[in-house]
Amino acid sequence: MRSVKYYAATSWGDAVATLAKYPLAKPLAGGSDLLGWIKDDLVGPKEPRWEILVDLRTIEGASGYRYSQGDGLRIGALTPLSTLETAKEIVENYPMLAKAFAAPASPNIRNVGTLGGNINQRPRCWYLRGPEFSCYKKGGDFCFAVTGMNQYHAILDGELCYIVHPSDTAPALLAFDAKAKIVGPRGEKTVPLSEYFIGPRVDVTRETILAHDELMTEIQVPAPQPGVKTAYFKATNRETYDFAIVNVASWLKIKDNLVEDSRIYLSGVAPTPYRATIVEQTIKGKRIDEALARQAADQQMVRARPMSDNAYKVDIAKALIRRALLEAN
Amino acid sequence: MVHTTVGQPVGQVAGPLKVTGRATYTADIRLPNMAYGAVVRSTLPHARIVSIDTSRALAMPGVLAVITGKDIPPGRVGRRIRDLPILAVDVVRFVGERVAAVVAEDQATAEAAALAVEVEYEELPAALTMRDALAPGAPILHPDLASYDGLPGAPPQQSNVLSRRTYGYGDVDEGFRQADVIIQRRYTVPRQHQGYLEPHACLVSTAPDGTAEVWLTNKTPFQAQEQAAKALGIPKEWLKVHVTPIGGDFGGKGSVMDVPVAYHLSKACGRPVRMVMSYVEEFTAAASRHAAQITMKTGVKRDGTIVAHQVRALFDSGAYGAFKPSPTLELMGNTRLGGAYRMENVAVESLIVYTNTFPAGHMRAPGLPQAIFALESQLDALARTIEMDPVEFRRRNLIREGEATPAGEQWVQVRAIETLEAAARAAGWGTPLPENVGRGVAVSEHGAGAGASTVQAGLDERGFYLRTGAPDTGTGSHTIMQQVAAETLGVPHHAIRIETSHTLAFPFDFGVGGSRVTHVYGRAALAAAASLRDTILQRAAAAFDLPTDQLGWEGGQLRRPDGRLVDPFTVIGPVEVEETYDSAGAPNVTGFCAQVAEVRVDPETGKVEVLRIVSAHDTGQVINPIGHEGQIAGGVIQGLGYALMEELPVVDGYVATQSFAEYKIPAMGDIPELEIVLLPEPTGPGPFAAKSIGETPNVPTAAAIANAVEDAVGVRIVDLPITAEKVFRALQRKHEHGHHHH
Repeated sequence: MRSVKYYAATSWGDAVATLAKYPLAKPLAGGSDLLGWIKDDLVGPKEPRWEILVDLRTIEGASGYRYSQGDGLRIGALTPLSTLETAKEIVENYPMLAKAFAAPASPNIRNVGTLGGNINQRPRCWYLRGPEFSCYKKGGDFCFAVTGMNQYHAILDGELCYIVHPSDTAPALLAFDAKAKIVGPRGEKTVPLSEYFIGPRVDVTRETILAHDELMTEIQVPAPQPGVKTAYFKATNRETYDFAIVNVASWLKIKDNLVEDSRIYLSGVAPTPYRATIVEQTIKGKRIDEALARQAADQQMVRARPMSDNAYKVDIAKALIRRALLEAN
Repeated sequence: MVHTTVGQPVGQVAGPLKVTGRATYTADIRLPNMAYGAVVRSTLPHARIVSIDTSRALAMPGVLAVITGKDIPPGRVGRRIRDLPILAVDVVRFVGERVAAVVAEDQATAEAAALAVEVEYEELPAALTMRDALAPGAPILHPDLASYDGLPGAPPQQSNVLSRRTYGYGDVDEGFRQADVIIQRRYTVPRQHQGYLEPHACLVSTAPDGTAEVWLTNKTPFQAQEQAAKALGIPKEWLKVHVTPIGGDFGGKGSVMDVPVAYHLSKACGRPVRMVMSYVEEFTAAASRHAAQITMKTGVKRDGTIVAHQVRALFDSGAYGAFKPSPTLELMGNTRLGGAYRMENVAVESLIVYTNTFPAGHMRAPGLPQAIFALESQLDALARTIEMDPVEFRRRNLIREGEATPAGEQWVQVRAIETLEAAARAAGWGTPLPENVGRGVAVSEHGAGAGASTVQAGLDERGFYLRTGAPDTGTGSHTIMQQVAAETLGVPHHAIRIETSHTLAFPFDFGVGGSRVTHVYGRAALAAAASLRDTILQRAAAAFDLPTDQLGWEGGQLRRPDGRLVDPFTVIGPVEVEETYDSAGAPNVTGFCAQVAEVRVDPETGKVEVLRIVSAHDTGQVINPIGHEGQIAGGVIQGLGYALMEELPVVDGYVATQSFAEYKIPAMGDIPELEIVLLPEPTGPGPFAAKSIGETPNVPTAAAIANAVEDAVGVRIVDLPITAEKVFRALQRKHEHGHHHH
């Protein structure tokens, strides 16, 4: 591995200023993916060889969480996932989130991997991760998945680039309508997570709205509501330590056995976490049963445009949507 | 016989060093003034090299030298056939082939300089699959094959076939006419990487006269010395090759990899050169298990008699055969395409085929997991078709004492049926299972490896010792040698220290491989220990001026006639003996393994969950229960990975899975309950009637799981790995098929 400069940020302002000053600086959180990225020397016309790592873990208060009944949950972006998956307040008030926080990788990686890192990690596409492929994401002019092996690529919303969003935690947070706090040279702002991710058509070289000198500092999850049922499923080829073929997070508000409101998100299927709006519309005001769950899942997946090798994802997505709806029943 | 040390669960000799990080692996060695090498690799599967521009790399600060194939004497590498150029000259034949090499003051500079070497190629038509390679008019990878050193027999006609073997007897066409049921299927299995923790590494320090000292990750250091010397065109005595600790082998550490390049880099810069392969290089350019396509056509009668078995097996060699150690360039699994079953008519054809992909090599039981997956799947399908219980079908057809296998192997003390029955019993074969849960069985066997090896035993001021030319690849082989010698000398195992030697100080040693260690080194250690004891007794008797039978031997000490115990070193000083064991003449026995897998299939997703595996072994005397169980557990896990998730897919010549994130091996959550059953009354050619274990437990697992999947949900998967997707699709087809009939 080539050597890089290391800078321990002392505050969010310091980190932002350092990033703004050095175009070849990159924020470092757990590093469980970034260091491998640098080691594999993944570069291209629009993916520079990073020269400075700005460590965010040294920022006071960047890690940790607090919960209150009124305000809900606030999680520092640098909090390790292993802290969150076992946190009493999260397990008791947001069991589905606890499940999602325990879903990525392995316990040792979750000890270093942070929530912010999980949400902001780069996709797993093997062409993106292959040093010899100059794909759109690295500034090239081709998506090798279109003609190559694409069993793990997008079935929904793919255009130009067919990556899938790799985060296990993002769909769960989105189902809870979480917000992200962002800091940049012009100060702080808070945006709904539903506006945080961007697809390849907006900018193929990145996956979020963050500019080079902006950082996610905190995730805010609204207080739990009564009458809400949630579910979370992740399908993988390997039991642990694997990225999802598909995962589904559902949040359903049920009143008198009827669905009053819902948010259902998938990841592993599209370049951004994917909201299953057709499912939500189909079940609204209805009582969920086997037939309705099947109908909703099938109708949602009519939208799917599988490639040569990934039609299986369509079937898995349907199966997991059905399961999520029936579990909430 | 009651043993004191043999059969005891003692820890490994090097265990404390390894777990505390103090074991010195090749990559840990630092020599004064050491420089660092890196390789420039081909980016095309088949191309002519038009030009190589090294000027930019050479101009970088810290770069000491850059070499290409044209800068060094021509030389080709190989364990048997020498077909792999040290650095490509004129042509590259796979993505990842060595094209040039750089040496620099540090690793980062070497890697950066390797990226700065500019190679211009003219792309040639490539044969990326075996189908392409065997098609009429296919590009021929090695037009000069007949001129290569190490090619066995007459050169084949101009084709991409590296080796072909046929065997059989009777008349399969007549057999098929007699059959009540015939099944023909094509099984495909992917490349599998050994997945060891330690990647290939070497350190080469040349002297101005061309001699060199070499450290490398290799299970056969003496053969590595010969391989490297032949490739470099120097006498082998010029190379002092050290025996190093090995961080996992699984059959993959038999080639010299970067050693010839490091030698030339060291000559070019006049400094020791260290080269460590990255795991990307491991996945794309090391020596993984051969992918194969095996077509089987088998006919049976209603009573289960196998009347005809016809096989065509294609093994994908990749672009070179250099990593295959068999003199015939075959894989041992070739001879197991009919297993150990009674078959009336047999015709087997097996080909090793060159393709423009990275070279395949050896991995734990070479060729066997491929052959046994196909065969045991095929037999299971036949049993189900004639509605015979799969265990009963095998019981009727497994060979018995006095019978030969379809490949003509004949063993004594054949315990195939006992092993099968032990597994079935432990698995509760025949007891009812819940919906979507199934059981599958598969049988395999592996003999105890053969050959000759030498072990030295001695006594010096520090006590007893054994010296060997074989590394411990992590299997515990040194501990086995320690235990059998300790048993003979009547001392605790830790009272014997293990020393390794190097290629200039020790007789030629064949090294580790083919499940030979416990048998051959164990017997050599046993003989050396006995010889040491006898020599000490004779010399001490002479020193005391007593008849030899007046001296006793107790706990490694001499018992004098007056009852006093004496330390032999104080009487006769240092002593060393050397014994060679040669397995020629040892009884030809094999060790059977039968496994039963129990799986649950999720019909909505196709996901296979392995609930339990029973592994029964006719294993002989267990020398070290910890090591033995470790071999079985590790083998089953490796077999499970092969069954369910491991593959190195090659797309347009590029390996798609270049890290352990993409190349999936089982993690803890995938590993089921394992029950091990050992047959009593050991028979084996090894010390204390030991057999082998290393290459058995990983072999039948994939077929047992495939058979269990069919038992659970009625679909047969013939292409490994058995992913959820394949099962789901098969269930869908089954459902549609059933629908049409109604």
